Amino acid sequence: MTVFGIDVGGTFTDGVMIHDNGAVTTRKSPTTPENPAEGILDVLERVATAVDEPLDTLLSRTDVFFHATTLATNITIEETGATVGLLTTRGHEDAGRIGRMTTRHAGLSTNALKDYVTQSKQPPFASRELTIGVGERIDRAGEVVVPLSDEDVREGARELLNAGADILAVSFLWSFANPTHEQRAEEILETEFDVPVMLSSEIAPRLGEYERGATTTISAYIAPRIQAYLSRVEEELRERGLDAPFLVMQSNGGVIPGSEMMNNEASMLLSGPAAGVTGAANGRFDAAATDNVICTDVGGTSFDVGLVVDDEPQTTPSLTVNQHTLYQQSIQIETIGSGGGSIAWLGSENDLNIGPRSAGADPGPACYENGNEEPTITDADLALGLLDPDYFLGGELDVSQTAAERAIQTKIAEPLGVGVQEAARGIYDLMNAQMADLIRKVTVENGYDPGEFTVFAYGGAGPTHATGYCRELGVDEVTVPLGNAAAVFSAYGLTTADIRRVREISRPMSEPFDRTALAEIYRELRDAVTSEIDADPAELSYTLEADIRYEGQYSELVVELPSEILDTTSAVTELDPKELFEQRYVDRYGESARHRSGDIEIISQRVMATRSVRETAIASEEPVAEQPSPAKRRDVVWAEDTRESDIYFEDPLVHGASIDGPAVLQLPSTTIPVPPNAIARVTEHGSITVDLGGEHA
Amino acid sequence: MSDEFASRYEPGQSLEVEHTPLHSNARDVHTEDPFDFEIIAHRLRTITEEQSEKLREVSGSPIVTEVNDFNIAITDERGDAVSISPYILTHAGVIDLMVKWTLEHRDGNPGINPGDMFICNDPWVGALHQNDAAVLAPVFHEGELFAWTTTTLHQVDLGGSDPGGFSINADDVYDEPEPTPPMKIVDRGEIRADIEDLFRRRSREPELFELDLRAQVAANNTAKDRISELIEQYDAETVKGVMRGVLDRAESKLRDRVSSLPDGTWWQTGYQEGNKRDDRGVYAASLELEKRDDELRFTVGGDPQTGMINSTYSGLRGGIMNTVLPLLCHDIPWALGGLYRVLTIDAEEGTIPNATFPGAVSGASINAAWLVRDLANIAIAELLDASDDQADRLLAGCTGSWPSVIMHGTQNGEPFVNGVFDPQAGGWGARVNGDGIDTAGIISTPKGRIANVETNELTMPVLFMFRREMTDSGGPGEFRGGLGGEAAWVPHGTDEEIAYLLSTFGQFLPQSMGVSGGYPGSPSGYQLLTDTDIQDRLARGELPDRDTVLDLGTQNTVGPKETISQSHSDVFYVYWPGGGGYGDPLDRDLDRVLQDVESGAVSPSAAKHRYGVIIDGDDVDVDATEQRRATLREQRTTVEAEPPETVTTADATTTREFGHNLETRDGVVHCGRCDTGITNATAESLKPSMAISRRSAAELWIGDADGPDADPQIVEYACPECGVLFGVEVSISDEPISGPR
Repeated sequence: MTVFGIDVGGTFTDGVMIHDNGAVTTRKSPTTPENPAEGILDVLERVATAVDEPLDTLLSRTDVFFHATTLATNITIEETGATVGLLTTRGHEDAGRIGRMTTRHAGLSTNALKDYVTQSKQPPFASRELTIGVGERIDRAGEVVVPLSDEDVREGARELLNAGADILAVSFLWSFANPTHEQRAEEILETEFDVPVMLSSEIAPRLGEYERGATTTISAYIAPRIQAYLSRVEEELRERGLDAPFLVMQSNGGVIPGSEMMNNEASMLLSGPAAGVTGAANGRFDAAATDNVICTDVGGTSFDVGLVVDDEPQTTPSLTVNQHTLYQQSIQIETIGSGGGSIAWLGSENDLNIGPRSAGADPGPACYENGNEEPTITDADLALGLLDPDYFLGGELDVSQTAAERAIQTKIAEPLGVGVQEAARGIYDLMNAQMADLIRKVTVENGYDPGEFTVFAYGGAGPTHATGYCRELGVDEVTVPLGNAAAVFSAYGLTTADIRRVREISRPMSEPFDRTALAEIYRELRDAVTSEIDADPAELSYTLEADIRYEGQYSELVVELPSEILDTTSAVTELDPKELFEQRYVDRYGESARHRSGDIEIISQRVMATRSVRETAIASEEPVAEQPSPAKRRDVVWAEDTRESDIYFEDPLVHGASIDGPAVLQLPSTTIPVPPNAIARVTEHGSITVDLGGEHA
Repeated sequence: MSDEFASRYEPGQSLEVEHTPLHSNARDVHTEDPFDFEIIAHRLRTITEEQSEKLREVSGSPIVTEVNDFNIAITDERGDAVSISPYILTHAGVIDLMVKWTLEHRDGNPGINPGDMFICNDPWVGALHQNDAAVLAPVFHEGELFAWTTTTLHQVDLGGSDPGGFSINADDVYDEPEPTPPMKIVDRGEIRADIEDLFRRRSREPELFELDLRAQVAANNTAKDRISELIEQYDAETVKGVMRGVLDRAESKLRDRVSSLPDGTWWQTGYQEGNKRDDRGVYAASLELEKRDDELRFTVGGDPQTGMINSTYSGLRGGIMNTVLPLLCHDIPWALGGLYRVLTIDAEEGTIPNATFPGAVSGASINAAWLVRDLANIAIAELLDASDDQADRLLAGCTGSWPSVIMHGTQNGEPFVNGVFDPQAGGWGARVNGDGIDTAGIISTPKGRIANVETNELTMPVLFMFRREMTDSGGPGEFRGGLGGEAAWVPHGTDEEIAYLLSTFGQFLPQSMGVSGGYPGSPSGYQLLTDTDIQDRLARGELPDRDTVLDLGTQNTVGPKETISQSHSDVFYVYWPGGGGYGDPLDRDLDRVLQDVESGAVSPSAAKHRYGVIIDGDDVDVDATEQRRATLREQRTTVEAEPPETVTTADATTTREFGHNLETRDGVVHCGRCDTGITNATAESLKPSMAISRRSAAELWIGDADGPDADPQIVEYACPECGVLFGVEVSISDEPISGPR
C-alpha cells in the first residue's frame, strides 16, 4: 500500500509517504496560507523528487491520502469565518455573550489569569446583532411548553439574511432532549430561504446551551471556508492523478472522507496535534513499550502533552478553543506557551522566568543575530553545546553561538553572578522542569503515575529536551519515534488513523437504570453512526461510552461500557454501570474520595464507530553488527559537569547501533542529547530510544 | 466567653507551640542555587493546581463545581500561605489564621499528628462565614510538621435557622449555623465517623456534606503526597528554603510596587440596606487606605454591628487581600504569607465589618466582607489613578453586590435546597483605556463561572423566561463599566410553592463605584410579579419577551433581606450589578456610544441623559450631541462651589497627585481640562471646592416607594468652570463620603 500523510501547519507543510514495503520518506515545505494547496503540491513534488518518480504517477498509484490542517483553528483566531446568524429561544439570546463567564478565562495560563486588566471575553461566533430569539420552549423532560412559532422563524430568518448572514445556526433550549423544533425550523429555512442551516441537536446534542450553541455557531462560522478548502484541495489532487480515498483528520484522532465533513467541521479544530498522539497509539513501534505513552511535542512557541493509555489515546468530551468551550470529543492535549523561542528573563528579584514572550521565527533567538538580544531556550541549548552552530536545522541556517552566549551573559549570568554555562544549564533545567510539571499534572490528574509510561518526543525541539524532562519525572526511557522523521511525526501519525465517527446524546438517567431504555439509546446511536460510514457494518468496531457521575455532582467521568449493554437479556449484575464507574472513579480520585452511599446518574451516551483503513506497518531493517564511530567530539555541559562528548550524524545511526553517553546525535531535523550513563539505541524502525538507565543525567 | 474566639484573632508573633515539633530549618536556596529555586517554586504552584482540579471534580456541590466557590492553599509550617489556587481568593486570604489558631490551640490536646486533618468553620478563628468549611492537613516529614495543605469550600447547608446558611432572621450567631473551631475530622488517616456525623446531623444536605468532605480530604491527600515527593527529591531544608524564599520574594516585589506609587490617603464609604428581614435602615462601613513608602495601611470602621450583615475580622481581611491580589500583584507570586507583611490592617472592634462574638455573621461573605472588598477595590483604584505610569492597572468597582438566591421546596417528591448562582456574573469596572468586561464575574474569582440555564432547570423546579445582559447596567463613563445581568423564571415541574431566602445590598445604593467621574454600575435586587397570567400565556403558545414578562401582574419589590414564596402564577425576577465607569461619560467616544446602543448595552435614553449623545436613526446626530453635552456640562457648573483654600508657600512644593483630569502645579490642584485652579493640593478634601450637584438615586435606577429610611442620592463633583466630572458618589450623607485626603 502506498500512503500519503500531509499535515498543513502554521509555518510548515509536512509530508510523509509510506512505501509499499513500509519505508518512510518525509519532506517539509513552507505553508502557503493564501492557497494551501500550493504548499501541499510543493511538498508532494519534493517527495516525488526524492523517490525519483513523477508526481502524477505517484499519486495515481497512491492507495490512501491522509490530510490534517490547522485551517479551522486559523479561521477562528484570525476571525475570517462566515457571517453567522443564530436563531435561539427567546429570552436566551445572550447565552453566547455571557458564555458562562468562562469565555473570559478558559484556557488562560496561570499568569494570564492573574492579570485582570489585560483580559477580555471572546465574543460569540454569531454576534448579538445577528442573534434572534423566537417563540418556542421545551422543558427538561423534552416536553413542549410552547410550540415553535413558524412565523417567528420566518421573520427572524428574513431579518438575519437582510443583515448579511451567510449561514444560519439554530440552537434552542433543550433541543438535545427534543429536536423537533429545530428540525421544523430547518425545514422552513431550507425550503423557504435556501440558506445553509446547522442545528445544535445535530452538531452537539448535549446538555448545556452555551457550549452546544458555541459548537453549533463555530461550525457554521468555519463551514463555508472549510468546505471550499477541502473540495479545492481534493480537486487539485484528483487532477494530478489521485484516485484513492481523501481522508481528513478530526480532533478525536479518527479520519473521515473530506467529502463527508459537512456538519462536522468543528471536528477539525484539533486536526494536527491529534495526529501525533494517534501516531503514538497506532504506530506499532514496539508493542510492549508503547501501551502507555506520554506524547510530547515541543514547537517554537508551545509544548503539547497527550496521553496514550492501553494503546488508546486519552480523549475528552470537550475542547477549549480561543477561550470557548466546545462539545467536541477530542484527544486530550494540554499546552503551555513554552517552546524553543520562549525568552528567559530575570524579574525584579533576580527571579528567572521563561516566557510567555517568545522571539518567534522573526527576529528569532539571539543566535540569529536578527535584532533580538534576549536569550531564548534555543540560545541556552546552543550555549550548552547540545546544539551545533555549524549544523543548525541540518546546516540550513547560520547561527552565532557567541551571540547566544552574549545574550545569556548580559541578561542572566551577570546579574546572577554565575557563569554563562551555569546560567544556560539553569535555563535548560527550568524549562524542562516546567514541562515536567505539565506532564505530571496531565498524568496525575487522570489518575496515572508518570513512572508507568514511556515518553515519545517529537516536533523539532522535543528530542533536545526530552531527556531533561524525563529525568525530572522519573521516566527511564525516551523514544524519538522514526528518528529524524520525528520532526514531522504528526504527518506520520495521520497515516495510522482509522475512520471514526461519533454520535452522542444526553438522556439523563437515574438508578435503577432501565436497561431496556439504555440499550435502546445505544442501539439508536450505533445505527445512526453506522449509517454515516460507508462501509460494511461487519468491518466496524464500536466503542460505547457513558458520562456518569454521582447524583448531585456536576462533572462526569467518561466510562466505557461493554457491548453487552446493547443486549437486554444479559445478566444485569455483570454489566453494572455503577461498578464500572466506581472503579474508574477510585482509580482517578483515590479510595478516600469514594462516596459512601451515593447513587449514580448517567448524563450522556456516546457511540464511536471505527473502521480500520490499513494495517500499519513500518519497514524494519536487519540489525547491523558494527557499531558506529563518532563524527567528531565537542564539549557539552551536562547536569553533572562539562564533558567532551561524541557527536554523531544521521548516517551511521541504523538498526542495531548502540551509543553510550555522553553523546549528541545530530540529525538533520532534530538533535538528541544522550547524557552520561545513558544509552541510545536505534530500533528496527529507525526510532531512537534513549535509556536513561535509572542513573538520570 | 473564652477569648480565643471572642473577637479578632491575632496570632502571636512567635506562635506558642510546645508539643508539635515544627520543621524550620531552611537553606538560602535562591542564593545558593537560583535555578533549583525556580524549579521547586513552580512545582509548588502546580501542586495547588492539581489539588484544585481534584477537589472540583469530586465535589458534589454546585457551588463548588459550577460556581468554583472554593480554594486551595499550601502554607509553611506556621500557616503562611506560599501558593494558592485561582478560585475564590477570599478563602485563601484567611487560611493562615485558621492554621495558626490550630497550632496554638490544638497543640498537645488533642494533638497534631501525621495523618490528621482539622475541620473549621468558625468566623472568629478565621472562616469567612460558617458555610465555608476549611479542612487543614498538616504535612509531616520525619516526625516534624513541615507544612500544611488546606482546602476550603462553600458547603450548601450546615444547619442554622434558614436553609443555605444566610440566616436573615438572625439577631446573633445562636440563630445561625453553628461555628465550629478546628476539630480533628481525620485521625491518623481515618475520617472520624463521630465528627463527620456531627456535621451530617446539622446539615439539610448531609449527603452533599459527605461528598464534599471526601473531596477535601482527597485533594489534601494529593497535595501531601506531592509535597512529600518533592522533599524526597530534594531535601526538607531545600524545599523549606524555597517556601521562605517565595514568601520573601512576594513581600519584596509588593514593596517595590507600593514604593513606586504616590504617597497619600484615600477613603471610601459604602452602605448596606436592611440589617435583617423587614429592617429599613441603611448602615455604613468605611475604609481608609494610607500609602506611605512601601507600606499599605488599611483602616476599616463603620456603624456598630447590627442584625445579620456583619463580618468578623477574617472576612474584612480576606476582602482586602482579595483586591490587593489582582490590582497590585498581577506579576507577583500570590504567596499571601509574604504579601500580608506589607499590609497593616486596623479595624474598629464591634463594627459591622469587624463584629465581635456573638454577632450574626453567617452572611459575611455576601454582606460586610463583600462591601469591604468594594471599598478596597476603589481605594486601590484611586491610588493607582494618581500614579503617572500605573493608572492603566486599575479597575473601577467590580460586581458591587450579590443578590443571593437560595431556593427550597420539593422536587420529584423530595425536599431540596439549592441556589441560583447566576448573579455572580456581574460586570467588571472600566479601565483607564477600555470598557469593563460584561458579565465577567466577581473580582475574587479569577476562574469563576455560572451554570447553564439548562443545568439550573435540571436541578431546580423552574423554567427560565430569560437570562440576559442588562441594558444600562454598566456604569457610564468615558469608559463604561461591564454589564451586569438579569433573569426571571416561573415554577415548573413542582406542584408546590417554591420558598426563597434572599439577601443582598446595593439595592438602592449600588456599590460598584466608578473612578474619576465614572458612574457606579447598576444596583442588585429582586421582584416578585404576582397574579400574572404567565402560565396561561405559555399554554396558549405565547413566549413573552423580557419587557412583556416584567410588565405582568402586580410588581412587588422585594426588600434586601426577605423570605418569600412563589406560586405557579408568580414570576421571580433577579437583577445583578454592572461595573463602575471610568472618566466623564460626556467624554465618551461617539462611536462607542452608538455601538452600545446598537448592541443593547445602552438604551437611547441613557445615551441622551448619561452620555449626552443623541441618536437619530442609525447614526449619531453630531450637532445635537455637541449641544446636549454642552448643556449638561453647564448644568453641572451652575451650583455654587466653596471658594478654594489659599495656597501657602509651604504647600507649593507638594507633589500630591490625584486622578484623571486633575493636575497639581505649584501647590494648586488644577482642572486638567480648563486649567482652572480648584484648591490647595494639601487641602483636607478637594471636594467642597468642586461644583456639587445632588439628585435622588431613584431617578437613575428603580424608583421605589418601599425604599429604605434614608434618601439615597447621586452626588456629582465637577469642575466649577468647565463642568468636567471629577467624581460621583452614591450617598445618604450631606458631606463627601470618599476621596483623597
